[in-house]
Amino acid sequence: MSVIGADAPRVDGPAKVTGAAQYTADIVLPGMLHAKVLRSTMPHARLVRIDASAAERELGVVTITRDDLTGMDPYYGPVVKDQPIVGIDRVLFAGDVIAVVAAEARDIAEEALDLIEVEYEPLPVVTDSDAAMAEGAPVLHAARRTPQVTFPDMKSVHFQTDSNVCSVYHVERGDVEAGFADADELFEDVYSVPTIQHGHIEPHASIAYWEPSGKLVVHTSTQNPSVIRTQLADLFGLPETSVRVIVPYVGGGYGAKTYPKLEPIVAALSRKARRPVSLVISREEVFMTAVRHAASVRIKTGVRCDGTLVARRVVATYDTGAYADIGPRTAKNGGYSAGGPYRIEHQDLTSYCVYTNKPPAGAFRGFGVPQVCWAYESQMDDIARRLGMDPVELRKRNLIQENDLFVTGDRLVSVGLDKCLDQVVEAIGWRGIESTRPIETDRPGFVRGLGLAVMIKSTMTPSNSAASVRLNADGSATLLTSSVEIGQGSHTGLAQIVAEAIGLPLDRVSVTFPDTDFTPYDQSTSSSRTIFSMGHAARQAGIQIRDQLLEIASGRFEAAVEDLEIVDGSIRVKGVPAQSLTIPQVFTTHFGAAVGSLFGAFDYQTTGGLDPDTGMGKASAFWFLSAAGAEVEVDTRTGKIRVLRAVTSVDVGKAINPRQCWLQNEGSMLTALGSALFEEMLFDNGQPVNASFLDYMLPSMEDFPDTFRSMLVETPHPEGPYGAKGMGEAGLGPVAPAIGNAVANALGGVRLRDLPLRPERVLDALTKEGLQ
Amino acid sequence: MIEPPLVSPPTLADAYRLLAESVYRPIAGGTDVLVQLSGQLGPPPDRLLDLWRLDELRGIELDGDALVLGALTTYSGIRRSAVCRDLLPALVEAAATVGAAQIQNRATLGGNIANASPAGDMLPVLLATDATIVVGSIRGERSIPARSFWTGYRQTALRPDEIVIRIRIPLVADRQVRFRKIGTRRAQAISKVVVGLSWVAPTSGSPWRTVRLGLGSVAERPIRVTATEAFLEGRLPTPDTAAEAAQRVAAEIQPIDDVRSTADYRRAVTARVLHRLIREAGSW
Repeated sequence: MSVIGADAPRVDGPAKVTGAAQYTADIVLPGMLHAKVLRSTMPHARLVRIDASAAERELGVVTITRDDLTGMDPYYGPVVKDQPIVGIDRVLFAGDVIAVVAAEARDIAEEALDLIEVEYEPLPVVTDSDAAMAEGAPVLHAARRTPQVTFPDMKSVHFQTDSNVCSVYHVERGDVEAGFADADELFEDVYSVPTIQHGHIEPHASIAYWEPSGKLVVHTSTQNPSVIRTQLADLFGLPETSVRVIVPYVGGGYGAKTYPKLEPIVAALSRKARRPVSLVISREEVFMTAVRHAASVRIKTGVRCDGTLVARRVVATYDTGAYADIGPRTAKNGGYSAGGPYRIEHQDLTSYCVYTNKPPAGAFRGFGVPQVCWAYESQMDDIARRLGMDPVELRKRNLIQENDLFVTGDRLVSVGLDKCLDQVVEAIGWRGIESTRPIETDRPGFVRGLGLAVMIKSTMTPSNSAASVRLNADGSATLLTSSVEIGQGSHTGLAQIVAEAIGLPLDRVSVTFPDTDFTPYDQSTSSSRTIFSMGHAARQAGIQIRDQLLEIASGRFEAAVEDLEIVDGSIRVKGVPAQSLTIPQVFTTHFGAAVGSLFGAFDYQTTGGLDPDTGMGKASAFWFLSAAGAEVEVDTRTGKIRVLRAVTSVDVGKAINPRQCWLQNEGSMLTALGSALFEEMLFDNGQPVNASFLDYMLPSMEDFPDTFRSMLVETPHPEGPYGAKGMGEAGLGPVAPAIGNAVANALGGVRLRDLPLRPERVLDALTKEGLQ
Repeated sequence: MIEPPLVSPPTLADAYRLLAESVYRPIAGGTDVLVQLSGQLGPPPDRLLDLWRLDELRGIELDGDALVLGALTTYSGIRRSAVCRDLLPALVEAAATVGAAQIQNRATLGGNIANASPAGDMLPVLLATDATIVVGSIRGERSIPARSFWTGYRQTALRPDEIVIRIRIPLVADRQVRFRKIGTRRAQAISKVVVGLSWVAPTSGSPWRTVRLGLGSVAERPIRVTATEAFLEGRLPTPDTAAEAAQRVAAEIQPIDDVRSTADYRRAVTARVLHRLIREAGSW
């Protein structure tokens, strides 16, 4: 029986349930020191003086300040080299790294922080992207450089150096002004999304040591070991063979653990200390390490009376904080996705990635798309309301279809969005335009509403994933991969693919943890690319082994390879069950004894990329398409919103493990629900004021909708393993606008354009509309 | 995190003696003290006095016409108590909104009172029920009415050698008690507004007597709004009463903007919650 499409139990389940699973913070190395970070108390300041001598003298700790980095280029960054290991001349956000300390125990390190003297000279602060782009704003990074090795898809982004705009992406199709002139109705609105944090359970953690040979070894909680190796090699002037990155289980990341975070710090500290150094940061520090871009999205759409979308212009501004991190790519991704999954003849889409004095924003599940999806899907319902149309009909009239050209020029394949929308319509009981009206309840002041939304998103393209599979003489196989088991179920899904490719029972396949000395290159465990890209490579590597087994067996059986099959680890002649060999027997046939191993290896590169001048080309190896629906209840007296039902439907190509797909969707839905209703990092003149789980409100279990349903559509992708596409992020984008649309429908069309939908904002909006 | 030295006296008398000798920060469930220590919120105390072993401060019992709760009564204890459920369900309702299950297993009523947070979830209920806080020291016991216990921002009427030992809530015939908490999310949220309301009325058609309205998160301490109470005294829960009471309470409080909400929201929603409670009482 095929293991593809089976709800195989998680291979990592028992280890995680029993607490046996090892995470970076569980690793203890002989002689290991513990590090703490001295962070800036000012959002923007010149570092006049830093003196760590008292800490070193009185407590015998090892410190790294700018004085320790004089012999090297201390700046790193995946796209722009703008982030120093520790503050050099300035600090750029409250929480920026000034110095780091390693001591025998964490409390000694903490005590040592108090002994480091820092003298600041405050500089003017900009904390939102509009202010940062205004004339006369202090320019945070006057000199910027790109690293030696960057990503091919960054060629389509224009970098600027004379303002706080880090990068710009632009793409257009048709003539947007002519389109507006041709339209019957114009809609122009500004939507906003605040800075939020990922809320991964395991904080960032890294350990480094240097071998006597000069090799740097790092154990780290990262999503992309191969990139960490490249970046550390670049920083410390080493060949990649002299950097070894090992990744155990990772306790969630959602993008927050992509690209260097603590690795450069522990590497520098351990080099000076000549001992292993471990750094595990606190929850409060996590809020200073990685966040999601706040964004402001101006969207103008021209529509004909019949509901045809004619023209759309979007300018999306992404607040990337103090350092670029992967912001230029995030903004680019949001930029070309801002037209939505619609056929629109005239489009003009621009996105800016802008520096501010806030924590660095980078990858976050959805990667720039939830911000624009919030805007275009909210506006879509406003359009339907003004035209007197059913929002489902409006969407269906304009939805992209198989083989359509996307705004980037991509020919779209595996587009099951119509089906996703149909499933959502059915699941929430949408009944046409009548469903846009408030639903009265028997409790005075409480009204309900239904809403829905759709989304399109790309995956990182081009990108590389290599896999190697080793079959042992006992019939067990190992997949060597640098994909990270981050809780998404990759160990299970990849094992299913390898088992199927070779013809083994699932429990005979094991998957390694990344160790760049032994596991082949993988660009990143992000962009929902693991099952698609690593799965493709793993499947091909498995097929190579299968071919070798069949070849050997065909000699033994004197039968053609086509007449053989491998079922549950036995190689047999089709239709002649008696004629079968076990894998040890095949090995004995080949090697003279049940010894040795068979190898398969495959390097999969997706092709594409966008032209720097036109922003066009092939943006994505595959496309995520999804729809969401929600029913909410609004207490119009307090402004409180409760999501009663949430449903999503995602086109997964082919579900390798349907249960894992549902669970991924549920995670997406819950994250989106938090961002829709509660989550927002607040700053007071650059100082974070709610950077802890006390006041930063993730949704609690009580906030779970009563009905929480995840549905899958399968439109096979020609390049995906068994037709599978990535899906980990797909369920997120449409959920917040579906909730927003449900709230607007409950309130008779009152539209809230700023997330989160706090009760204070709901009451304000109702008051402004004269509904209170 | 600095961990101050901790003493765990086996009896209340030992605790009183220690408190008479030097200044201690009492700690019971630790759900506030540990957050303050690990978050380095303010200077750490020199010494901690662990009250957890003092079984004299445990127990929920009926004493004549009053419900008496030991200071170490946990929220889980209140939630599980049949006596509380029968006689004062609003207290059980309030206990259920505090933190998560783990917090409710450790956090104590006495701790909530002594911590004196303006957002303390239980405190408006204690104000609305005319509770008495009994405090003790080597010098003896004294009773402080809830309405004069919280004296300012995180200030109480406790003297340095005193601790909260029990809470006495009078049980009044025909009294109705209501509790509402408005937070950001449905669980584990520090409140934006907390309301405790009580009145005495033999039937739903009787005028309200002995009206008490306690509020949290709208001032620097938990407060009673006596002008609004006075307005409600003797009235029936009619639409006019509700509308007028809502206006009056909005005028009587001076909430502030902070990280959890705005002054405008707190004022508006306090008024609306009161309006809703009166409407529900009047069944209109």
